[in-house]
Amino acid sequence: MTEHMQSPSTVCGQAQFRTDVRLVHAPDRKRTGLQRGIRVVWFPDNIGNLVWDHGPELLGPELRAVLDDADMLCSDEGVRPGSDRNAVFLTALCPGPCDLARFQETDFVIVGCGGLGSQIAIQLAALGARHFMLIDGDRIEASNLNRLTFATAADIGLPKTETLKGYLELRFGVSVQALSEFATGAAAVQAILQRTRLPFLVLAGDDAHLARRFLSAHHAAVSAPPPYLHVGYVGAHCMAGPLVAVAEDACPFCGSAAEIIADAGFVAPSALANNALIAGFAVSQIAIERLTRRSVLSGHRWLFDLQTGRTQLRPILKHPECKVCQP
Amino acid sequence: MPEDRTTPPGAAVSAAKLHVVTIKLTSEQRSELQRLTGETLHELRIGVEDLIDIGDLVAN
Repeated sequence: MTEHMQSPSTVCGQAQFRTDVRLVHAPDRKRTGLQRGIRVVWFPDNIGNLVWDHGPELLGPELRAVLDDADMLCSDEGVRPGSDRNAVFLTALCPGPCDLARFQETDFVIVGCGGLGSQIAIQLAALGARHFMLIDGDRIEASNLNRLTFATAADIGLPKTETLKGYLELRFGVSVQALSEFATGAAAVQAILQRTRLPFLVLAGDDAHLARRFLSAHHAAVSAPPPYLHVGYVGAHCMAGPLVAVAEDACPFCGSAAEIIADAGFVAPSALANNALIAGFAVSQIAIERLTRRSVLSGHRWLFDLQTGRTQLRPILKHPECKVCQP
Repeated sequence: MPEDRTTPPGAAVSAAKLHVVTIKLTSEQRSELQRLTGETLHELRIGVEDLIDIGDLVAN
């Protein structure tokens, strides 16, 4: 059941459960249950649905005690509506203290709004991000529609940034700035610095030459440039990282991609499925960095081989003479 | 007429893994459940199970 089809009482009932509780049905269809982790509380027939929809109070304090023992109920402060549901997802990513406001107040600057960049923007918005800046000089082509979930045939010929901006604003009510030009260097960096307060950049363009020029200008612009994450494809691999937050972090060009590219003739296509896979991992890592100021992608590149299923978290060492990140 | 019955225990689940809790329903709870389900229940048997098969844990 999608949320917009639910009655207020239904939403109220589900909101009393922790976000990772789900409604399940026994294979024999004779029982319904509420599951969290390895524990399931089973009810006869469809009574689990009723408890799910109306909340534990439907059957009094005894049931509430059973569900509480199974750690399935929200604490009082978790029952608030709206963005707090996102907060539950976000805090689940971080076992320790975290700074939710820092995630919500970040200006997410998406450099490259094609299949991958747009997917990341959409997932961030769905997780409660509120401010975006979209940068891309491309227009929507018919051949893009198989991987642009925000566009239709009616959008062919329009700038990707404007169309994605409209989608994000309408769907998530977020604030979006659009810059319909390619991030070619210093001008784009200045535009980002002038128009944002707490920027975090996602480099999702498919042109390595442009990315190199842009990052050179980015690192040269200020002594402590805004943090960024590089995502994309390398040979047969989906890729996320490195995440660069401080001057000591290795940039994407500190290491060589040659050894990865050389290992297979297969080149991973920028298909919707692959983009969503990279985006899902990248968004989790972005959220963790925003919440905790730490990231496993600092100095590392995550690689997923689509053919073999092998994953690696490959270290990238800071190159003392890197022409991109060293002043 | 709504069916009057007692809730059956959880079927197809090993008793060794299932802890059953019986909740006696108050008249108000009975009425509310009857309104929602059309059935009259006097008590509710709830099973609390810890899954051990990873196949049961795979979520969609």
